Amino acid sequence: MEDKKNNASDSLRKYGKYSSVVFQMLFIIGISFWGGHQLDLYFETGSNVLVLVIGLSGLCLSLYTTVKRLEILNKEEQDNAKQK
Amino acid sequence: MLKKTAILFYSLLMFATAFAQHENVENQHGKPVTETPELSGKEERRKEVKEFVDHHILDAHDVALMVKGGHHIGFPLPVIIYDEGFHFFMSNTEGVDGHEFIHGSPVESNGKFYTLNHEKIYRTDSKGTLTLDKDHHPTEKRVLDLSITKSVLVIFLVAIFMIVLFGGMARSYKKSLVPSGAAKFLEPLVIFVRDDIAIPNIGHKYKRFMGYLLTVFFFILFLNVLGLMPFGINVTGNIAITFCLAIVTYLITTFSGSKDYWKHIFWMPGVPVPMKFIMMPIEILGTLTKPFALMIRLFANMTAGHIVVMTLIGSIYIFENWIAGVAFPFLTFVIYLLEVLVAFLQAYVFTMLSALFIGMAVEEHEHEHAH
Repeated sequence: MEDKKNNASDSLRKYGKYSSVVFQMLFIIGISFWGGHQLDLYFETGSNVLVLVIGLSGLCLSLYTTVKRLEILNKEEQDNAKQK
Repeated sequence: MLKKTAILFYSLLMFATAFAQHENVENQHGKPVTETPELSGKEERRKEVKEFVDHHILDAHDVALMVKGGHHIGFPLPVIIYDEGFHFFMSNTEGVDGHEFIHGSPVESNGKFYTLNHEKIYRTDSKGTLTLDKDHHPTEKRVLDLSITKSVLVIFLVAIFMIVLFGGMARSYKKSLVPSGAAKFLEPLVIFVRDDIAIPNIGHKYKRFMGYLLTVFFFILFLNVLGLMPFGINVTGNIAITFCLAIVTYLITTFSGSKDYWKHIFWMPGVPVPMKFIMMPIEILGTLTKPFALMIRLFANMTAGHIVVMTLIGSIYIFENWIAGVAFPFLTFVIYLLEVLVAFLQAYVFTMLSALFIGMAVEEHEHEHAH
């Protein structure tokens, strides 16, 4: 019973950690595309060039941060497993 | 399995009908078409249900317990406005055209006129004219509304209730450590918050944060449960409330952050130096996305629950046949049971994630100093 309870709260904790990574990723992508669009309007480029450049680099950056975050989380989990 | 599929199918069907209704209403607005009286009656009912649901999920300037014969039975609440000085009046004050303020009549206060439009107060002229822009939003100036609305009233009541309840509980423990009265029910919950939420997530520093975690857990729980009762209370489904709760979590995480927490944000270990500079703003953004996710999660869950239950009840009056009369109450009951679970689960999830974020902030990485 105790084990089952721990498992449930453990998986929820993992869910919390991973979902915050996802939200961060979404935020970066959203902000970079939105910012690119705003800059396009501000500089009156008349095309979507800044949306594409900034948005896509934001996308790459979000992937990089996600991978880094996951690495850190993975390491933490391994450390926890070792401690147990 | 089959049952789950059936419930899912019915829910999808309901959403489809809800959206279909919405489009129909829009069409009706757009093109004046001649309709048979029967159809327009049904359309009217759909519009009424939609308005009822829309109205329910908003905050209100009065408390309406029920409607009987076209009359709202309830009581008014004080309206407090700041617009170059404070203005006070009750929400049932009779306006210039003989109706009450809450029913859209402009009310005069200290030489200025105010009117209510979709629960938002605008400054207007003596006739209550509102010019609408293309999105149907009034272009008139909105005023700072500090009214005691229905949500504010409920928050006050829950706060007083919690002080009385937990104050009494604390006093009873001074006499004897054996729980008595309400403590019999609440002690397991308090222990649960401590042993299953605070200690596993925060670690040995948990004591400092227990006050906040317990408060937020019971506050959300009581409001969620009150939201399921038939008084039309939807406080945790209000984004302003969840925003404030998330802000408190954000402030606590920020001000209790350890050296390691800030090091991870400003100078992330394990990445090349140029990337450290790029990661800095992203990590700062990351501190904001966490409470943002908290805010959206609670708000969306509660609002969605309320809308689904209200739409299902409303569907009985739209379809008006014996299949709908049997199916929808049953479906509402199933969804309602699910909502009871969600009420507890969301209180738990909010507290758990707050504890998790606080834990991430106060945590000191011993393994990193080793290598």
